[in-house]
Amino acid sequence: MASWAWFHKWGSPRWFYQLSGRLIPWLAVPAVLLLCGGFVWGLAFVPADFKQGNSFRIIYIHVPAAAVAMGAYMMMAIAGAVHLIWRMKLAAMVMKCIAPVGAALTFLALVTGAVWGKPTWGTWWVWDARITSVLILFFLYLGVIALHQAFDNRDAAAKACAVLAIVGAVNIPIIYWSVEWWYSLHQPASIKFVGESTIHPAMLRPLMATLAGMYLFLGWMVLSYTRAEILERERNTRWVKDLVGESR
Amino acid sequence: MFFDSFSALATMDGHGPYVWFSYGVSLLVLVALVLGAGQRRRAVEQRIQAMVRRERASHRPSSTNSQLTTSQAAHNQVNQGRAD
Repeated sequence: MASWAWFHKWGSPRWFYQLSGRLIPWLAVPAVLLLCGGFVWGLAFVPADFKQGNSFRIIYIHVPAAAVAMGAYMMMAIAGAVHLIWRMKLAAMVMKCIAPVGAALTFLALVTGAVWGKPTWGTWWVWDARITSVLILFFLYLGVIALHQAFDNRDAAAKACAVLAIVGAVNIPIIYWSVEWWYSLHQPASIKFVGESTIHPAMLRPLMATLAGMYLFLGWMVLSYTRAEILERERNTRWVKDLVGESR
Repeated sequence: MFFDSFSALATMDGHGPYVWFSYGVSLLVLVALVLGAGQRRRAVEQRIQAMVRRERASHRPSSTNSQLTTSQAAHNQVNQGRAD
């Protein structure tokens, strides 16, 4: 069946290596353009917020970092599940490579959030539901990275990390709905998928740009790190030796 | 531009330090991720190249019968290239 052939291709690291090599420019270039363009636009051209003044401009890095950190975690958990169910080593590689990128973005979300909180709420930190659960997300990412290093056996490491990633996935809906379920200092969602958003369109447009740019950036980074991982693991194959083995 | 001058853009009515620090840290982290990918790639390539060099060295023929053996080896290598 054609669909099984397609699915089995994903088991081939070599095919993924070649495909990702062609994809990367289409991710990297738009990512850089959207991020840089969105940052400049949000920093210098959007009017200041009625209540918060200019500190709201942090939104153009804070929201994309947080959103993509959450999305990346779900991808990591799904990759882990795919590896556990179908024993696909490529899924294990992708799962391993998402973790450091997701951790970096979560770190950015926490730091920019704290810096934004100081002039807005008068405090660098508060243990409200959303902020605390994003901190837990950061620890989960660090946990996946640490767990990988803890094993000598690569297969055992992949299994353990997949379980941790999947179990930790429950944190994502908690982060998302925390501002609805509990009284939070962190403001509720301004961007609505159904109905009118409460954020002004002039402020929303650069946010859409940096959000898209950040997702493309995630794709670029995950593919790049996974490609290095593929070369490392497949180093004893003919195709890798031919590709890389030439001494310069 | 929303601001009247570049110095107004820098100070942002007192919020400058917060905003510029946030963007500065963010740019650092994002650039570090990109450079990290390149570094990881180069490290892997170097390890594989060293491994390939070691394999080639261990397959090299011995110094006796050197003339015949090396031309035979060269002939084999050329044919190997064509078979791909």
